[in-house]
Amino acid sequence: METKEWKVGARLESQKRLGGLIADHYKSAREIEITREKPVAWVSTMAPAEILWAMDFCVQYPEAYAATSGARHVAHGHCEITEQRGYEHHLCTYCRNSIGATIGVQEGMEIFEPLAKPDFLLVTNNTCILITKWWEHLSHYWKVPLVSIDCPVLLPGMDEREAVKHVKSQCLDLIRFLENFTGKKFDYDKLQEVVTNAKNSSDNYRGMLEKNKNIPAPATYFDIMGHNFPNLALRYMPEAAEHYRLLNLELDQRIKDQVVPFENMKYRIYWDGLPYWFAIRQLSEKLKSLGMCLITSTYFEIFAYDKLDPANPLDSVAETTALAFFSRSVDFKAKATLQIFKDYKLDAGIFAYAMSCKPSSITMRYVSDFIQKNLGTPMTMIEGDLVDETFYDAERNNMKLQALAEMLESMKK
Amino acid sequence: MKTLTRFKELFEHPYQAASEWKLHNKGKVIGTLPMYFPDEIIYAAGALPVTLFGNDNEPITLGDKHLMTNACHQVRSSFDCLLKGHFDFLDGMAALHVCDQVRFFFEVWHLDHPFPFFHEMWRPYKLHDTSRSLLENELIRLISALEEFTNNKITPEALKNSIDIYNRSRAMMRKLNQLRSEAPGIISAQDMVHVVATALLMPREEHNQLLEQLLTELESTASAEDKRIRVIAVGHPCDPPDDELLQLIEDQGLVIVDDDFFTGGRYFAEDIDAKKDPVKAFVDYYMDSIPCTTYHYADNWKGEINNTSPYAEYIIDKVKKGQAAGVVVLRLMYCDPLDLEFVLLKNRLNEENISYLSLFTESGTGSSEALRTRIQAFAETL
Ligand code: SF4
Ligand code: SF4
Repeated sequence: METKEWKVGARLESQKRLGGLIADHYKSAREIEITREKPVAWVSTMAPAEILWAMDFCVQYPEAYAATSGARHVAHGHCEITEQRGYEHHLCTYCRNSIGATIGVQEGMEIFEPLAKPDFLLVTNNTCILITKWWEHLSHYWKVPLVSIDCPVLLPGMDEREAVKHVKSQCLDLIRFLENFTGKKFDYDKLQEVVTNAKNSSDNYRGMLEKNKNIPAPATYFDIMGHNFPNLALRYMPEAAEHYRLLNLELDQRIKDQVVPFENMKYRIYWDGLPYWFAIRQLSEKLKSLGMCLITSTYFEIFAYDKLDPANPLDSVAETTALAFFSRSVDFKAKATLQIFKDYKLDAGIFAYAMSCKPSSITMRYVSDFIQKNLGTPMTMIEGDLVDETFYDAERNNMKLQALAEMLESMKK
Repeated sequence: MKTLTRFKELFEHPYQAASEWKLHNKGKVIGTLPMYFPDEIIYAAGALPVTLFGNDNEPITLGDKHLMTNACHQVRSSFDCLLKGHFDFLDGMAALHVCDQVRFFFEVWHLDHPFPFFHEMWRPYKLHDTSRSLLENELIRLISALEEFTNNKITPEALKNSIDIYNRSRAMMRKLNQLRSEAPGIISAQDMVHVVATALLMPREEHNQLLEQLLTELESTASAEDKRIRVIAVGHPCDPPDDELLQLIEDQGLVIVDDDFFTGGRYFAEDIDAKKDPVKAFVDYYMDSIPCTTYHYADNWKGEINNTSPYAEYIIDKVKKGQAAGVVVLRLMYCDPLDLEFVLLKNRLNEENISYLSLFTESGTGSSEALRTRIQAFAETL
């Protein structure tokens, strides 16, 4: 990459607005917890939350809460509580964080601002199977009803329309359950309004991701990862789309002015896997020092609800849930990742093994080999965990990153 | 006893019978991963299903190069066997996605080491009527794939015949289990595992003959009164527990009168209804399944009622029916479904005042002194 003409930009203005949106979201949930003006639901990331928003639920995300706990270095404390209760150390640390925080609240051992208490739980298994067990445990602790939507893994040869039909029929079951639970009739017009907002937000979110196709990239993965939150938790309201619209204007301006996120940006890097939330700052500094700019990741696919369609609200919600990226085969994921390497003109990949998240890690080596074979780009695999710092060996990982940078350097010569 | 020795030999050479079958019959052998693969359908296609367990006697040398060490031994070790060529006699592989590890590992296996036949099957995790039609489609998809691969039509008659053979096998296993409960010690825990595990490794009709022989032998054996304490053993969702460990348990004054291993009580708990349309009968088998750590029970919460885990209730029921004094939980290291379920199970056992001992098992931990001491201490509390 030719770096001479590039100017280094200050922090994105949109970060401030993001901070405000997140703070408002949690503040209003805490108020609702007191006023009980609407029911609170704890929902998994890939679940059809549109249905709950249409029923005027306050939707909270335990996975996002786990990420925040990791970033604030309190997740380990939550995980320790679960270990005293017989939960094994190797189990998903998002799950252990959430259960630990729950026990903490219920038994006066709170160590971090908790999520508003749930009245209802909704889970889908389109990221992994374990998550449904996690939610089962939550339903035991909170003694509130749980509805789950069983999403078939999209196996080669399986009829995808049948999978969508199956998920839709479970969405209808959910609607019937909620009508009973709230005593209110489901409002399909409201669903359409929610889906319209969510679609606008998702389109703009996708737009944000694609800005990094530009050379030079206007932002790093670390700059944009926090912006997943509005499309996850706020996409039902117009403010989410507006947030991305303004962010995209800012990124466009950077592209026009050739403004880059940091000095000496040399390599365009792919990140595979979920972030190591507790190590964001350290990793970002390290990569910066090596001239490596993280450009994008398939991780962002979790928050891309591209299939939503205001003309077919319920069908498109079912489709989004049933045809999720993570319900697909490793073969599909490898090809999609290869395409990302091409579209984003990436120089190398970092595959971030998460010790406690087997679903996101098990197939990494295959995907990494597949890309290497096809494009010859160098890859490295680092080890850590999503939120539990005890699995992390910074020195070892830094050495691997260093080696990757050296390899890239030698390839230039 | 002669037949028990034969079962032991077969268990110790898990793939020998299948390799010989292949040689003599020129048929196709299809490896399946535990648990719950509908082997009857493979058998009805004229092929031989063989369940792939890892190998406890061999250190994992190749598997770990590819997979993380905190994956369960069953998965790591069977992958190791695959890479070492132990499964080269197979013509195909098939698995049902029972857990995340099987799902993701299996995909990588295929890509790393392709077989002419490879089939992944989805099974609902939520036992709810909405899932029936999709499951039926999955079974039909399996039937078509097998027909295409073997060039044999799987007729309803062939399926019924196969179901009958397997049901007969399970019925005899239940009878054996009943004998063990009535006359503890008549068959040791490890022999019981050998009997069930070998059924998953060889032509079922041949196994049925052996099993019939064994039942005849046992029925004519007068058993002495067994003074040991009756316990139920649970755990090991997929692979057979270590022989030495089972022996260690039964050497410390405990006797296993019933179990919930996949290579045990879980396997023969239920039949496929031979009177129904075969595909529908399989659907019913899965949807009305006995509680399992790998299923998801969404409506567990049940308000104030204590009944919070169908699996725990299932085990408590076993304890009561088996008039057992306690439960030994054999926990294969890094098995997420069991580890999560265990928390609910132990809470319910505590509520019911049922003593339990939880032992982690990794290959090679079979007879360690520390384990002996823990089992002894447990036996004393009973
Ligand atoms: S195991 Fe991984 S994919 Fe599953 S809930 Fe945990 S973090 Fe999410
Ligand atoms: S032992 Fe547990 S983790 Fe391993 S394959 Fe079986 S169910 Fe999955």
